[in-house]
Amino acid sequence: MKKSIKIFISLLLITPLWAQFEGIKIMVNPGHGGHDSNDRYIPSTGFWESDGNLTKGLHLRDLLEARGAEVVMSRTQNRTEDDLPLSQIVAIANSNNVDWMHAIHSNAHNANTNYTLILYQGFTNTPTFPETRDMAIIMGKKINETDYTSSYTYAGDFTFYGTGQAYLGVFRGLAMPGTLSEGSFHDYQQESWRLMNLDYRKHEAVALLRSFLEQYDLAPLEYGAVAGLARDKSKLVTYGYNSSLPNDKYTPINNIRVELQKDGQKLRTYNGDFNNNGYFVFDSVDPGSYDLVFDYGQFKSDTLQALVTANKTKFLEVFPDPQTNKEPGVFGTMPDEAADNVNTYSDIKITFSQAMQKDSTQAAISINPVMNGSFSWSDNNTILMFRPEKAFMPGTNYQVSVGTGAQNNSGINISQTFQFTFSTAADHVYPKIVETFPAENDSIVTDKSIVFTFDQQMIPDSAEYAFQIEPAINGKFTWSENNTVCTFDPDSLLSADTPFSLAFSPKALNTYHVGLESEFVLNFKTRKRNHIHVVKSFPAQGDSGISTMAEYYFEFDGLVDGNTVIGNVEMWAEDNSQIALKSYKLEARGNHGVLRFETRSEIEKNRTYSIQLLPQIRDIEELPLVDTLIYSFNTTKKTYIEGNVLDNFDTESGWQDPNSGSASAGIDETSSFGLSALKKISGATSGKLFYVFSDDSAGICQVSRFDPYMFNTPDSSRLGIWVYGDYSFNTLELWFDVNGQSNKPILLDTLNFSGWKMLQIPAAVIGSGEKSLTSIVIRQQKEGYPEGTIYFEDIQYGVITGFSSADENKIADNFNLYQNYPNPFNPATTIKFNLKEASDVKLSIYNTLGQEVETVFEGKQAAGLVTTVWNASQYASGIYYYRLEAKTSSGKQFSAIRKLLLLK
Amino acid sequence: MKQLWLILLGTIFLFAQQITVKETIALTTPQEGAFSHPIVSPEGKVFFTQLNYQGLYYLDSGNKIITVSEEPGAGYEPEFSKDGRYVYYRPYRYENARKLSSLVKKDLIENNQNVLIKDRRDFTSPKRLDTGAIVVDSNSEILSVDENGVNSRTDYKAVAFVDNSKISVFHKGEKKSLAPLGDGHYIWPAVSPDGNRLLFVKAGKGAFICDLDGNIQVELGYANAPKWSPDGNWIVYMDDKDDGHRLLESDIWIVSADGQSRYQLTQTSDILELYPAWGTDKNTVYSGSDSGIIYKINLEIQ
Repeated sequence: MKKSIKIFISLLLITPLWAQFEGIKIMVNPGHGGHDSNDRYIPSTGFWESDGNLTKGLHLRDLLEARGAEVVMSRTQNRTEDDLPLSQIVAIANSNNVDWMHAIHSNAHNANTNYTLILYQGFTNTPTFPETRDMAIIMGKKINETDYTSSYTYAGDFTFYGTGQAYLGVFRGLAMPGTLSEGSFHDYQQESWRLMNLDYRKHEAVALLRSFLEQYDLAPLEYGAVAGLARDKSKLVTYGYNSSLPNDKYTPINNIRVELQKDGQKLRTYNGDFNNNGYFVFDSVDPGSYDLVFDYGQFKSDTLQALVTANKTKFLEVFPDPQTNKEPGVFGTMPDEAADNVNTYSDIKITFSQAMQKDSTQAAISINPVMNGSFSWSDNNTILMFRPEKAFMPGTNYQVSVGTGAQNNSGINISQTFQFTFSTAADHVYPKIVETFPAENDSIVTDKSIVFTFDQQMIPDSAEYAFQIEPAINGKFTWSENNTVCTFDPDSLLSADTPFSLAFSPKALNTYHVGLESEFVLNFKTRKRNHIHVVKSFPAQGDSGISTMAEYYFEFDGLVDGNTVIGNVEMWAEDNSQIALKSYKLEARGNHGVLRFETRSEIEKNRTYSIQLLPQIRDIEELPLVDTLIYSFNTTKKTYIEGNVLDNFDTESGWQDPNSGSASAGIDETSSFGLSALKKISGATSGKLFYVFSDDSAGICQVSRFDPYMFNTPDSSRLGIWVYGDYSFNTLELWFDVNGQSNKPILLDTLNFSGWKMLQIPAAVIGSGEKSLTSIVIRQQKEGYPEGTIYFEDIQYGVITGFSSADENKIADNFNLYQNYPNPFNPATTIKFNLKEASDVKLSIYNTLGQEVETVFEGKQAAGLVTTVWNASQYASGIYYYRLEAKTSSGKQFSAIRKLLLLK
Repeated sequence: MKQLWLILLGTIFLFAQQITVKETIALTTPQEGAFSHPIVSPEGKVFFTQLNYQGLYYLDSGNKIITVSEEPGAGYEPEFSKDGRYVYYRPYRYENARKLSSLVKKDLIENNQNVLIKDRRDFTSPKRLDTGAIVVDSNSEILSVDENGVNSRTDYKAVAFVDNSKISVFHKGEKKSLAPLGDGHYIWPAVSPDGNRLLFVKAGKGAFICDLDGNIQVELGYANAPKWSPDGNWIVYMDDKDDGHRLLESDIWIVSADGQSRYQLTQTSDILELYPAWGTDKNTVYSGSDSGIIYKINLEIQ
């Protein structure tokens, strides 16, 4: 045992610190991203969690890499595309086969909580990866040392969220140990302000580094840190505070200045920010005893002693006393004293120790050689900016002085003149155009604006003067707030299908009057058109009588990009409920794109619906739809009751292939007829006819019967067939042998619809007496589409069309008419129905001619399930229908109809 | 013999064209364990793993769960010999904070195993060439680890790996690194069954199909863990949504390889279907789920 310890120690000694993690691969996942709905924002402080996590994550990467680790970052920026799905984060960790994955977050709860929480997968005491619990304990303790949190805790996600199973998505499917730190609570306002300090965030990353070192039994950091918060005990914050963090009730001091001294020697200075946190930190400090000297603003100078220990953060809380008669001084400048190679159009920044009086201070500033310019103040009048009117001269030494006339807000002068010098670069850095819309040689639509992004702030007038466009077109310029992005909006549309050339001459000047180094030229073209349009649709706007089982058809004058359709097609009922749609189908008809879709279930009769196509729909060239297009239509009022079915298209026997049709002409041999389960109204299949006309016109596609269907029905009766139309605008005919005439063609309808529709013709139109159905025929029309697929269901005679009352088929919740049982039956059967409310009810029986033969029940009925029995002993075998009509006292109506079969 | 759990009876017709979801069957029960990431062997056996790729299992012909390995990592992207007799998997262990992986070849008939690679870092999960050779990507080289060495042949179809977040394609005896959309993380790469096209996801950008030189051909949009259908005409994927902490919803979709037609195979608010895989023909899709049940979805694609 002793031996192994010795070896371990000697390994520590010989492993250089920069190689501590060599061979170890760690993935760092800064949580969230993109300032979107997944992100978390605190409006009162301006804190975004995604920003905080990223600062911590990038710093952790730098710290780990400096010690030899290989680090995989899930993101290094904060754009929308950086907000990765959790499954992708897991896949990145797995495919990179990292040794550990750590996700960085901050927490939110009730705006008054602030502790450190480390999570891992599994139950708290039985994690999926046992080492994650060890790490969580270490990490919680380390972060609690760097972050100003009340305590720390750790938990497995199965336990913490009470699910008993996988909860956090960033652990799901992770093939290595993973942890997630919620360092502190960003919705606790004091903490939110602290998190606005970048150094505070970065110091949490130091805690994470210390955690990995300890978890991996590597040598701890050889240095320590001292950090703290400076607050004014004479002022209380105006918001609440956590009772476990009582000093959070005092107001933090902005713009603090702390010197780290050892043995009276100044080592480093920390300048605090203006984000209401009073935070300061000195990291990478050798262990030992130090003085921290606080001397800033109108506070008494104060010195605290701090003992810095390796691998730890000493956290101080400082409460300096106000001192109103303190002299102001200069804390720092930009450019720095004696800086060289300074950009010729730099601003000059002077940071004072106190809020200054503007006029006296500005009057006390002098620059040699003389520069004219303007002053601006920020950060409570402690920072003065001087912006020269023009660029500094290249290759020149400048001296800046702040004379003793400069006074603070209380009228106290600085005690002695402050001076600093700098020298400028040998040449200007010229402004450049770094991005344009369109890009060089792009094609754009004619109603677009043209956008230029400069890398420096420009003088708009000069740039507009330097701008030329060929062919010439007038337009207006607009500029971004900082005058770097210039947008040119032509007064009229650009000419279509035209090459354009744009130029900025070197007379386009930045705010320091330095122009472009050379002329900038951009070439682009305009497209022939700007938008795609719908050229045909089914239904058209305002159509009525549309089937409740339609397929909706939209033909565009461009090929549509399928990805842009998702989510951008909506269908609404008149009660503003959205109708669920099935997946769509896109196909090309020449240069046109066709979009087809159906509703997930049959819609209601005699109702108004509208389909909306949103402008996000684009063609494959990214041209958008011209506008939101709305197609309102009414559904059919009609209800059909099935008659005597001649063919239900559930068995294939009897129909010939169209290529065998004696009258078929001008069809491609690929045309075919068969059964299909894809579309059907009843049974297992429907008849499917695929046809392709080989010529431009006069094609006939005949599907004929080997054995014609003979039937006889009264002239007043109707023959019907369910047809799934293809919106081809060809015509559909049925052919009959009747009254000695062979193959008499009867036009059923033009195929100007899509989806299921009941097509009917009166028997009288066919001819009186016995008749035979011989063929189904598609006749090509000149304006028709030369190919298509249609489906047939249930050719029948004696179809009943009726019950077209306004409220037919209005199905309210919990009004139901159930299928009778037994069925078929003899002589009695049970019919049940359910009423949501008490109603006047009528339950009637109809024959296939639509005549009411018996009323089973009529009268008032309470809400609930009602069971009735119909005894049909006096009726002949055959198909009958039972229909329920219900009307509530409030006027709600319900009706439904079902078929039953009496077999004697 | 285990009872199959039928969760959706009857047939759901998905829109127009040619897709019908005939039924969805639960192949495992919560009592048997929480399983995930199904993958199907060439002979049609359904393999899967447990939480975080712990172990590798499959269903035998009587739907009994057979354990191949209980080692961590064994369930991560296993590969199979052409006849399905051998399964290759990559378990790992930790030593000195470093993940050491091995490559194991298990004979499913004789129930014995060989360790082909022992305790190495940085080699990928295995892939089978159509020559039969099993290869892994190890840093700058492709290692042939079993059967029919590849050195003498270059006529095999390409295979793809992830190497340092880029795609590496092994084709005609050479390894080529691709980043078709510039810097970023590339995940889930897969060469099409005909060997000519490459499917991949760029994190944050979506799924794409490119040729073997990285020229983008089709943008598929948001489609996670995508897989080619056996005939190369379709791609199955999960449409998962999260709030940055946990999964909120996920369903399985298929999209045609030209990106033009898209169909939703599952639409369940109470089940989050995850990580789908095709069966040996295009009419069967398997998926895992948030509750650990493996599902089989019978389709009809005409």
